[in-house]
Amino acid sequence: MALAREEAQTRSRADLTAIRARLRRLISDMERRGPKPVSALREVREAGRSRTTLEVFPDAVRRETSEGVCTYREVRYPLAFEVGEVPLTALAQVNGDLLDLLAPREELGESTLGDLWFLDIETTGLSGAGTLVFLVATARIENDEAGSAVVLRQYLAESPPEEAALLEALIEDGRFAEDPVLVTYNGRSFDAPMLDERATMHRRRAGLQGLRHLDLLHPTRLAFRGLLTSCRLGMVESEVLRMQRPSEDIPGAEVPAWYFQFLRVGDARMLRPIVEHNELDVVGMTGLLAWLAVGVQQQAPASNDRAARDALAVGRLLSARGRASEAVRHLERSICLGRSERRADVVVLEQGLLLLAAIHKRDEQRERAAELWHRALELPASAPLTPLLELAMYYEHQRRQFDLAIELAERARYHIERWLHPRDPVRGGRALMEIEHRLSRLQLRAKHARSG
Amino acid sequence: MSLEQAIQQLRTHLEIAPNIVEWRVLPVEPARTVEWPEGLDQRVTGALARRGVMRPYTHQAAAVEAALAGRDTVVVTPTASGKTLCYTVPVLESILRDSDARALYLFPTKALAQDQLHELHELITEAEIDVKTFTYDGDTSPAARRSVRTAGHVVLTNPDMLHTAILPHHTKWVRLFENLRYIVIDEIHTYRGVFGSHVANVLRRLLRICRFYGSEPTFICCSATIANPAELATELTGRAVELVDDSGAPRGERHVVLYNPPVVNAELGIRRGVIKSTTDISSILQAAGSQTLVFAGSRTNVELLTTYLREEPGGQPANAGAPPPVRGYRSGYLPTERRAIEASLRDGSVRTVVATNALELGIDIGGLDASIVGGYPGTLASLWQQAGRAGRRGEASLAVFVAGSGPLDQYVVNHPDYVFGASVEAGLIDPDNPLIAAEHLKCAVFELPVASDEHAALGEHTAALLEALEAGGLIHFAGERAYWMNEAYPAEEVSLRTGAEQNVVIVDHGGAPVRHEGDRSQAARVIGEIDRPAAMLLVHDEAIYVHDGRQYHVDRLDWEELKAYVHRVDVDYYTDAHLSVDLKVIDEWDTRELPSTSGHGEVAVTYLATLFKKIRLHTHENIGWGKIRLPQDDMHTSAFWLALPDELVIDAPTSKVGGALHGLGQLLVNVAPLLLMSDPRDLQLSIQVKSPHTERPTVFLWEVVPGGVGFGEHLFEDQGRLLAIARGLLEACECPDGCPACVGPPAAPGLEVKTLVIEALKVMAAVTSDAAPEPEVEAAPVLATVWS
Repeated sequence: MALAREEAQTRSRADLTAIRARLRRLISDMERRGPKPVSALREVREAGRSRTTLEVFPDAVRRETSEGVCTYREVRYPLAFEVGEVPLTALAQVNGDLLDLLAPREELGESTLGDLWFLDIETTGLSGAGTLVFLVATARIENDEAGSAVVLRQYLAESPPEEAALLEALIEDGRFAEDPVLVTYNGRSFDAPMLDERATMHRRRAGLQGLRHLDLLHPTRLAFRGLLTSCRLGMVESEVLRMQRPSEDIPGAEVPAWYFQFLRVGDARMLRPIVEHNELDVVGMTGLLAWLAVGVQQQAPASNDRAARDALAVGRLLSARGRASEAVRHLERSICLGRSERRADVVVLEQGLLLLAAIHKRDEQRERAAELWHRALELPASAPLTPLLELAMYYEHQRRQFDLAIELAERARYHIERWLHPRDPVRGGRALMEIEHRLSRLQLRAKHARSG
Repeated sequence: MSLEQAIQQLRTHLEIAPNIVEWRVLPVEPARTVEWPEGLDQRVTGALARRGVMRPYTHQAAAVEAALAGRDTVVVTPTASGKTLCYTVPVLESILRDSDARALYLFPTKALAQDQLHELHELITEAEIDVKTFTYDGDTSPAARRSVRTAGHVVLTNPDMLHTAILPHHTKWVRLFENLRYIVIDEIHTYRGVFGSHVANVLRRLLRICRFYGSEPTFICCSATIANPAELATELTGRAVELVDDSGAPRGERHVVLYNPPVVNAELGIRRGVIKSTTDISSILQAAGSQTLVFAGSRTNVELLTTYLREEPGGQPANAGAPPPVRGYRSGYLPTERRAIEASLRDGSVRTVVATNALELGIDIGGLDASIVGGYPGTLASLWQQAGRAGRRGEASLAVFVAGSGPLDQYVVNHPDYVFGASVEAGLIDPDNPLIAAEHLKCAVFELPVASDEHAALGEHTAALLEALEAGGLIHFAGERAYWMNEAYPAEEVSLRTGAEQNVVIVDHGGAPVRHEGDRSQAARVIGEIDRPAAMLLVHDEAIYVHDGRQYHVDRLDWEELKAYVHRVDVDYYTDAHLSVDLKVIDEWDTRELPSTSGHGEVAVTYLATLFKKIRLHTHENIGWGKIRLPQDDMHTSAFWLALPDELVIDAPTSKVGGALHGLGQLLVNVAPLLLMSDPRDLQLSIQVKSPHTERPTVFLWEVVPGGVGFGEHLFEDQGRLLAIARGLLEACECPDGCPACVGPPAAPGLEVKTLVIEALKVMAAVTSDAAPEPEVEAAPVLATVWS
């Protein structure tokens, strides 16, 4: 046996060329079996010689750090700049109160606009130690002789080892404020831990997870879940901010493939779509914050075909944060602007009516609530279960109109049997039991009322 | 009653005693204890003393001392000799000296890790020390994972989790890797062949990550008896590992009995069946009240034996409501059920457990009076592992091997010297297998860019592999390092084991008709699970599925949803299904005509269950049959094939061709692992008397791993050497006409298989131009004696 091993070793040492050839075969087999590479890249159309990053990005420089060199650029966006339909001047309305509303657990009441550090990263994968951060964009609101501006900074690793310098430059620049506030979109679970882990890979400490953090994804979800196809940043940009991405913009999922292609070929023109994508992500975030500032604070935002939805979104956010009295104004406005021609408009109107009714009910303003439930019932093609149940309770307990309450409860039972129970037997079963219980009590009370 | 009485009964039993082929009594060995090494924390030694360990055995002291001195060790001592303390003591000591210190335990299965966690936890509680221990496996909740990563002093896991979850995310495990003092690898003998080669690569990756974080852990390994524990541990860890194998644990008198069931039909040479004979012997022990473990070769046999033994004296609870004293134990029982059986074995309420080799690994069930091995488990190591389950500390024990009627069983039972004299299998691995190494190199690059000075530490082919990976566009060289350049997560692309991942869930639906998925009658409950290949045989439509002696009728097997719907029945038969395994060449990668037609390539191995028989309980007569309507299962893998030379086949009688073919196949299967540095279980043999592919009598050696790890090509390229070693081994083997170590025991007397195969090998050697000089090969890997 020992002999057999010795032989195997002699053989492998003796014939390294043959082994190489065999390995190539084995590996090509392996690749054939493994997952296919990402979809083919769109070709970079310009022909000719390769370009360097400094040629492609005239505003870029090579930046020295204690950990080596990376590529760095700054872009100044004056506040007059408009992100889609939202002027950045609206950022002036950002105050501690708004930040507290958006991230209540972060104690941002004393923070100022200048503390905000917008950040977005591009990586070569989703997780694990083999995922590199090769591009980071940050933005801060700064005052200089030319006035206030959003200053965007980008850090690029032109090769994997430059990631160390990229992180170092980022850590250096992160010292701009005593207690900066990170502003990201889904950065709490992705960008911040990823950067901290990359720093660990370079035996450094970034400490981003220790910073106070306004993750815009969370308030955006509270406001828009169900009102947009998804709450991805790109969707919010186009549907809410009305921001147009350039036609050559690439989907985020293709970013790693472009970077790999750049590493292989060395032509910096392949970086342009990624760098722009990353830049726009951060600009979009500043626009989103500006939009939220306008939406929450401004008395009467511009009236357009999305105004009802947007007012509802702000109302939902305020209501979810326990600020019902402020929410009422936005919800009333949403209902006032509401239409019912299109299905999406009906959903907005219905949600506005129900949320406002719920707030009134809690405030013991039952007449007003009942009126809203009645309006919700009249909507075409809506889901009437909630208003039916609420009105059945209302007519039983507040108005003691038992026959009307019975009629409403029977309609509710029909809807539970027909729609809810088949789809959700657990909730449906419970709802059926409750409605039967209510109906039998109502019958009894109605009988008593008639005889008494 | 006692074991002594049972032994007396066996020796004098009118029907049993005459069929005992061999009865050996292995001598008593007294305990040898010493003092603990100087300077150990008294809280731990005190707790051990309160639990009955006043002074350690010599091997425990030696292992503790070596580990504390930072020397890598492998401890090889018999079952129940207190191996666990060999690592528990130094690990706890290091944590008590420095509360930042960490240890990582690797067990081959989740269940063993859970078992050890429990034991470790008891000791820690007894010692009143602040040491946090966690298991980390697929069942660990996301919420708990964070505290395991940062706070766990001792993390108990398995190589698969290390491979897919811990190493690729090492930046989340900084505290562990910066402070790792010990890596404990228990049951190291299970890491051999392809699986072991994978694990060796995982350990190379682990040590690399440790170096990155500045820790240099010491290995403490434990192994069951194999021929080459130190060598295997050294190959696995890449370190020179010190062997501790001088057991100081006491052993009582051990009776080892070889039993060959009586001939019941002299004309046809039929012996009493292995199930009945095992029942005969086990029932005597059961009646005597001895706690007994009965090993059965298959899941069906476990259930039959459980059923039969419950009908024997002592098989029913003493009073109604008491737990049953006879239990089955096999894969397919739910984890909670298995834990309950283990516990009742320990507390003595269960007297007889019938198990498959699922109980072979080091699951803690305490010492038993007797172990009955019903049928040869395939290797001597397994046989001794199962026999070794008997024996309480210092008390007498009995182990009986009951032979089946197959040639292998008959050879073993009739050659006591083969069983006692001899040798156990060696554990061989080849961490540098190019395909395996390539998969792990991808993972290594992912985990940490690979610098040029690391190549040697990652295996002998690293430079060539990196070159190929770069050409494949998976990695990118920058500076002196290779970086991962792909969105894929490489650890998920390679599984360390061949084991079937899909399970069929067995649902008792109480006899309600099964109309469609989601039709849940109130009585529905999951009673067990079963891996996909076995499900074809055990839970097909109309099968009688037996679970812990209870019979269930399978109403429907939903092959899409992997669910079998069953209900309780009480019938007098069981079912036995036949699986046909077929091999077809899909793609021939290379072929050669001399010395004889050979080739290698991709093959499809298909498994198809077609028929089942209904067999009456007790009499085992066939009372009916049915069809199984299931699609076939396919596996694609690599194979090497070799046909018999034409001149031997022409005009030769079929029986000779068949005999030579089987003999040659068996011989090659025995030899190939030596050349491949793999485990015999990694390769399977198929015989085709007229192969559709070569149109000749052909043997196929194919890989059990789906896709293969390149063994087919390796055997093809090295076939000259393969045949030379085979011939050397055969000519040196002293058996008259075949034994398990060469061409296999003869299927019938007078076949002269050995001569036929030597003849074939001579013909092939004569025409081989580049025949290698015949190496001298030991007849068998005889390196260690079991009972030393």
